[in-house]
Amino acid sequence: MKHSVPRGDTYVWMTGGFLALCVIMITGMLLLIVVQGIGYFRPRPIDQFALQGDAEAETILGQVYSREDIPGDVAMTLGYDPAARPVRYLVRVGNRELFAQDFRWVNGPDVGMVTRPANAVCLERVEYGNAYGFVHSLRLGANRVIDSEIDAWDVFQKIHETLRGLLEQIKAREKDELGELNYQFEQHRLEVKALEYRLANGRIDSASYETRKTEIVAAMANLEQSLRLHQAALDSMRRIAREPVLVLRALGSSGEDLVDIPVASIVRAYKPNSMTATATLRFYASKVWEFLSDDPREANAEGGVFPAIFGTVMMVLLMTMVAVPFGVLAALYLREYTSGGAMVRIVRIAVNNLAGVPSIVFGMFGLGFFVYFVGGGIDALLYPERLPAPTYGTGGILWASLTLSLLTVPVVIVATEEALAAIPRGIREGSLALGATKWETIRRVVLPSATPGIMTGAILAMARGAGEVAPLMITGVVKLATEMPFDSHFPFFHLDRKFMHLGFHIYDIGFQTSNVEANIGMVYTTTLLLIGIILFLNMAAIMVRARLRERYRTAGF
Amino acid sequence: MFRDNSLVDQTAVRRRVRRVWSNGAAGFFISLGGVGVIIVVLAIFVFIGYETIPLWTQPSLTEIADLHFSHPDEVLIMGENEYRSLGYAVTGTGELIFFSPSDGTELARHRIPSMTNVTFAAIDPTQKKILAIDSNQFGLILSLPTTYTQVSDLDSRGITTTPFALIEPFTAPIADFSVSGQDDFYAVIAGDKSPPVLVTSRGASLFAGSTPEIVQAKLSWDYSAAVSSVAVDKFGERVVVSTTTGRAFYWDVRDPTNPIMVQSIALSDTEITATKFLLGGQVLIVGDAKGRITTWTWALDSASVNGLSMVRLNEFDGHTGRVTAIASALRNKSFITGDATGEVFLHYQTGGRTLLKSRGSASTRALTISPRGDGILILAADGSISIDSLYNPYPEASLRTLFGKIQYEGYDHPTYTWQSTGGTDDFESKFSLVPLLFGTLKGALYAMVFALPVAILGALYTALFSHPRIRNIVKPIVELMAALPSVVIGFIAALWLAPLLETRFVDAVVIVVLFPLSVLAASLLWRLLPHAAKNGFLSGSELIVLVPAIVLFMILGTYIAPEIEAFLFGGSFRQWLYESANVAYDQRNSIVVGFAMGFAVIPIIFTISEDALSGVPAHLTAGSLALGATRWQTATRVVLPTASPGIFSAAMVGFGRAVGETMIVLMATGNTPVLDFSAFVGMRTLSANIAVEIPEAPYLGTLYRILFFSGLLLFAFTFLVNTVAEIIRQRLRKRYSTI
Repeated sequence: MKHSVPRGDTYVWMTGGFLALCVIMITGMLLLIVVQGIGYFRPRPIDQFALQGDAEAETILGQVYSREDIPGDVAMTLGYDPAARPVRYLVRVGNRELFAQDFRWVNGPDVGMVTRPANAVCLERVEYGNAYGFVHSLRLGANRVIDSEIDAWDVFQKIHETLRGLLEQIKAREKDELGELNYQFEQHRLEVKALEYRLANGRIDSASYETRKTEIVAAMANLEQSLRLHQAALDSMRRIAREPVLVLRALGSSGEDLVDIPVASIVRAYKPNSMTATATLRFYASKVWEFLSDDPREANAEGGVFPAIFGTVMMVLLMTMVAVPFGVLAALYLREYTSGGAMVRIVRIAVNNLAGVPSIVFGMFGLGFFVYFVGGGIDALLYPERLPAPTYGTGGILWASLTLSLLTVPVVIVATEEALAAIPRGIREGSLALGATKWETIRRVVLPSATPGIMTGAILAMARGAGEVAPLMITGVVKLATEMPFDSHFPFFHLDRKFMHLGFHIYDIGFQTSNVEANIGMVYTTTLLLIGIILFLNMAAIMVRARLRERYRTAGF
Repeated sequence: MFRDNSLVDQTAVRRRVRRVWSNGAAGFFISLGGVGVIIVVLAIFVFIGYETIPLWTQPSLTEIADLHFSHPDEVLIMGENEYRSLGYAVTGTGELIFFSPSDGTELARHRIPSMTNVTFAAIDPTQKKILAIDSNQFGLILSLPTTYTQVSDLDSRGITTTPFALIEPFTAPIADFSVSGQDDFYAVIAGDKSPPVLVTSRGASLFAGSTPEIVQAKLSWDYSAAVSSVAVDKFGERVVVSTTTGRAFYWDVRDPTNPIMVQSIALSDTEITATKFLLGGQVLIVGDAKGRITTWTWALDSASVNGLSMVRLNEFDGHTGRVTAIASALRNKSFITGDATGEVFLHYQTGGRTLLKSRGSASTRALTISPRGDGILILAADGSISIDSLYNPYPEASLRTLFGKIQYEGYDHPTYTWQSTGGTDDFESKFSLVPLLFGTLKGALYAMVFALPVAILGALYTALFSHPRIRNIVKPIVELMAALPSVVIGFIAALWLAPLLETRFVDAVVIVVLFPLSVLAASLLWRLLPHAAKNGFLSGSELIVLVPAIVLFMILGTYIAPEIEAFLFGGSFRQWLYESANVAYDQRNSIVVGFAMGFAVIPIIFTISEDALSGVPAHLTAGSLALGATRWQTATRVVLPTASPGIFSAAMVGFGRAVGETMIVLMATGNTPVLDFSAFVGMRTLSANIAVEIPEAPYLGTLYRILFFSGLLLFAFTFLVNTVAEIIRQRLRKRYSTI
């Protein structure tokens, strides 16, 4: 029996094909990010390549970071058959003392033999990138040397944590103590500038200017003295901490080389080729923790993204604190306090459409209005002595948050309006009929019922704000902010400071650093984190909406 | 009843007052806050527009003072310091007169050493050096200090002099004089019956205090007409000698001891009365006896001796009388011209505009623009100096320079170019928005080509054909797509897709071709399946078969693509493209951008279209199906026509988003502002341009305001598109409720 196919059924399949394409693209992209992002922290094995190209034979040691096709035209110039799809490996060879570049491309057809020596070690260092090689010996002092490879490795592992901790302590003290002294010094310097400014404007006479200035200069000299002492003390401590040295047998371009690496400067040392499963897991966990809790190292290519997470969260919170109350206010006004004429309709369309205005336009407004106009005005009024160095007249977290709150306020307005519109007239009228005033009705009846909608709007606004980069780029985001927006110095919150942001971090490492291929893993992990935060916020919006709706449904009736 | 109890009464009254009061206060604050927020949000538009207004203000010239000297010395030339606090004039009697430009009072007189009868004087464009020639064939360079604010700064130690004897006698000398950034100076002097002489001094600042060596060389040629004007550029590379017949001679004088005549060219059909180099030394301004003003530049020319030849740039509004004086500005490409009837015009080279026309009473003898370009000095034939202040803040911007095809200096043809800043201060800014607008539209169109079919057909399937259970999975996935930050999409496009596409472009093409085949194969497979096997599936679950089929065909594509590439393109598509079609392949090209930006706008188009499609009243579709139409017939004949305004509105909103998208284009294109239709090159869009350039643009400068203007264009465009789309949607909603 023959089945008759309904007319146009193939076309229906075609439309289905396009939807399937959508689904494949989005899941494929998420998968790509998840796989690449999660895989970045695994301990990569150290491969030893024996090269046998046209050049003289060479042995290199390093971790393979990626593998890709050699472009057809390049393959042809190199003399490979493009139809065979030759590949090349991006190998991290590290050892910046020996090689000019951290990474090098190894063409697949040139590789003779690949081995994984079990005792190959990778040392992650605070500076100068990774080092690869084999443990040669451990030099504890001028005449205390442990020569055996196994003993040296054992002793190294015992002393490493302590020495590393010591160096971290020195660093922390440096930041705290010297930071405090430097801060005081800077305050004095600014006071001198302020005095000079006041003298120039005739607000103080020259006699009191001179007395005060002498005092400050004396205080500054004292500070400088103690700064020097502190520095010297810390320097000698650091010298002691850096004395024990791990000697590494590395493969240079001309045979083996011995490289001295101070134990304290090693962040992490591991032998990935002979790791147990638990060690691998511990390694992975420590890398993830470092990523989430540490400052970036090596021009953002290594270390963590904690300041970026912090900056993103702080910025989003500030933005929400501005956008939500004002958005709710505007929505209440539009819905409850106007009669809904043509004017209100126009305003509503205009507000809706602001969500479609390019974010860079908001950024431009933020730069022109907040940074230059308002910030410049604040500087001229409150900090004239610091000019031309700007205080508020340059990008900062406050201006970035305000700019983004303008961008997200339409989201809040629209969501709140929808929630308000959804409340049945009867509830409102019932409240009014019982003698409540309009405000009481709004506060006790309307707003509680609209809360789920408002919350959803707020969370969606946060998600949108967390993912925006373009307006931030011109209103205060920087690639590296050493100072957090708050500290122990008055007024504790320093909203004029610049900040780091996960989205901008992606752009920065992926597009503004020299070795993009090498840093791409970091970009993927940062992306994963950002997407994780945004998806979490979106999910939260959906869940909050569902849960609160349930609660108010039962409470309301 | 309560009336007896005054206590209760009082509390009740107090409470009521408080309630009424708080109600009123809340109403006031909510209204105030609400109106405030709306005003602030809408004020963005006003602010951005306001920032661009000064671009269109007219320049103006106001006379501050008129200077008549106590006894009628013949003033030859005059200049000012940077702050316009001190001016000077050189007289024929060999005196330097200092005056105050703010009120025109004479402050002091200095005698120029060993000069009694100055027959000619010229100042260099920076107004720091003066060349004076006396009747005894004696030349003198007076150097003023780099900064001076009062006469006492210019005592005998302040002004240094460098005398030299001319190798050629001049009876009525004319000269042009310029100083390089290294303090080297170049002068070209000509006179009746004698060949022009080039005077060069290099290495002046190498040894402070030492006398620089002065080299003089004759420029000899056998032309009979008399020299009427000479000009030398600030690098000492080019000399143009003009004659009474309108013919001019261009000399390459890079080797001052051996000047080479490169070109003989007719700059006018009548006597050339004044010539001057514009800031940067790339443009010569020419004025003639009929009052015409033209500019000329040097363009590459392989036929020329030194590879360069003069070409004409612009003609400006002409004067009534013969042009007598030209002065070029130090900060931008403005210049002023004066004529024998006393007219003084202000022009701007880029775009060839005459900005301002002013009329004096007596013939103009000499002109000077103050170093900061905020004032001019006009020397009239009666010996008086008119001191004027000039307001000319944004001469670079005009509708013509922003949107027109402009021939820039060094170009032999007009182009659309955006290049806002260059390596040097005297760089000619090129502010054509055309390549940026083009790039914006190109990117958005490529995005639409990809996004429209995917989003609309996908929405069609979701709204009309899919099973609710599938719909409940698919819609959140697409909404998830909308939540992805554009920086993520841009990063994936630029760092994953672009390099992949570069090596595997053919794979992508093969996959695109295989896509319909995979759908066909899936549907065929479905039909061939026995009925029993299909029973478990619900109608509208085609997706379950389609997704694996498409993925399978994609994988298949990557396997057969190398064979196809080897067969059709000899192994490398990129190389084939370059060699056979002469098309360069940029890694970050329009295809990558189109794909990425399409990906970004699919969710919004999808959501709005899906809303419109599923909003079509059910009785229409039910009626159609009941009459025996298939689901495809119902979709195309009933649902699509009804919902088409909604789909159109979806496409508009999507287009608006694509136009304004910043991060994706910033990351996935090379950001080169080119006008190229090729799909294999990148672009720069208005939004990316703002992101790239505004951090470096000086506050309230021309670039800053032009970027705000481009932001205004973006804002207005997207706002308009969204509003129209919104109105269409509202109308549609009304229609749905009526049918």
